[in-house]
Amino acid sequence: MSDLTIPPELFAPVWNPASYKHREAVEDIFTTLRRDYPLAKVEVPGYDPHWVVTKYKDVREVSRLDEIFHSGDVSKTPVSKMAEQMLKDYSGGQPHIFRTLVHMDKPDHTEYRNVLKDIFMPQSIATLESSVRETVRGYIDRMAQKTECDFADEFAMLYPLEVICNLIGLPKEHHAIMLRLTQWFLSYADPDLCRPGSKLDDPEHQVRTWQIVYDEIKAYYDPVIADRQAHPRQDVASLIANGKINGKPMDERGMISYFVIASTAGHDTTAATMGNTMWILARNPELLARMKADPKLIPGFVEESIRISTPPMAFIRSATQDYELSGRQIRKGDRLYVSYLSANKDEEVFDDPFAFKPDRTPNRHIGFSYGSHICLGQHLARLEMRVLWEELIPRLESLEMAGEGKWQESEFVCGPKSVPIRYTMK
Amino acid sequence: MAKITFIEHDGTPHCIEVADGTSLMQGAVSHNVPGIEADCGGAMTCGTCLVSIPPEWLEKAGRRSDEEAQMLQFLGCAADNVRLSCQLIASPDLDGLCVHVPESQG
Repeated sequence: MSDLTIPPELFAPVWNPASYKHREAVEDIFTTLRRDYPLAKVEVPGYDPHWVVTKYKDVREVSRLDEIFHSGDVSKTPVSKMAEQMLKDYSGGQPHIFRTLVHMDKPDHTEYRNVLKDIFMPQSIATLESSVRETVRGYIDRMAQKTECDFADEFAMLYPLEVICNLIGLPKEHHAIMLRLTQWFLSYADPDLCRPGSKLDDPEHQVRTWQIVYDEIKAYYDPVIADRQAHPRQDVASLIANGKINGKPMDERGMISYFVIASTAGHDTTAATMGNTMWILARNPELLARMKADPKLIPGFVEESIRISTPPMAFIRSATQDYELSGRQIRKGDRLYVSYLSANKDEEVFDDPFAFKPDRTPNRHIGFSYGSHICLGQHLARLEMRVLWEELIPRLESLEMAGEGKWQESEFVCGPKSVPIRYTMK
Repeated sequence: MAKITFIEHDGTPHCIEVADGTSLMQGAVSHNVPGIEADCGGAMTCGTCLVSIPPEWLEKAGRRSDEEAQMLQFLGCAADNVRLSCQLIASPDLDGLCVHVPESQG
């Protein structure tokens, strides 16, 4: 019988953004947790107690049972008790500043998701292939004019940004604004990417930064919303601006939050996976040679890259009733830290889980989560990554790292911030 | 309540009872029927809960909605008897139905 309580000193680095610059060390913690504390509680000083859900089977079960394990009742990311109180003060009682799909439960979640459901269906996304391919070819042509670049900074962070901003309906000159706000929001603790002036050692800075992001997104989108309400176009901005919830217009927080999630989660996660995958390729010439020899492996390569990278690493849920999970008694009100990062490396499900195998079969990873909250943009993300590698791999003649890569310091959504590469291209 | 048998692509049968008004997918997932992955939990966005049903049950199973038909067309499942099990709702009419899980979901 494994232990019921995780020593806080073993777990605490998982919630410290700075730990993630040494990603392997965090992965090692989860390997230990899966072995010795597969489903156990941790009490980190200053935080409420949390169950830490590390096993694939348990993560799927919690994710699937979305009426038992709610998404909207407590903060989605680990915040101290003090920070959660601040969130409530800012938002008028909610444990979040944003009220996105991620923060909702049924029936609201279904209503809000339906606003963009059709446009993100696989059959709709498939119609975007030629334009996405054209976009990525532009980036590849520019890359081919040089022999070195920072693939994270100059390519991965820009290409999915351009695709989603085009889909939302934002002019090219505004894409950089969205990138900056995304980094302030999702990389709030990284010294290179955070909001200038935010104090990383101030426990209130995270909440304050999120409020500033909310206000800036609102300031940016208010005129866009007015324009699309007056003159709807064929774009995501028009769908959100005119979206109806139970037959009525969306409230302000719901609408601004929808723009937040579309403009941030719509590219940052894909960028993280692309950057990490290039880092892996640049250190692994046999993998590049294999992919060049057998392009049919690319869809499997994409799935494996998502499993290995798992950019949104965890979300927190809370129990609405008592529930027995893998022999543990979860009580009503308990919080659960649900780790997709850990589940996707579960040795009982994925043979040799840290090896990158483009032909891994089956590969039922949960990098897009699982159940009703499964990533709305999953089919777009897959398309962007497939056409990237289909276009880039055949043109790469040589590839190596040109320096040390760097991970973002982020405990929530994490990918590399720098992947310097040297290459020759056709 | 409907007794539904799911047959894996290797022939292994799983007979379960599904409460009226709930989908066959929900029944399969809560009974851990292998091959019904149902990644999206019934939002009809993933196409991972496919089953094929015998032609004589097609009428009782009800017609596909336009959305379901589009998804199946996208997945390349043109045959009339292929359905998304999240869209098949249990009722006494379906009691005794036997469905096959395709090899692609093995």
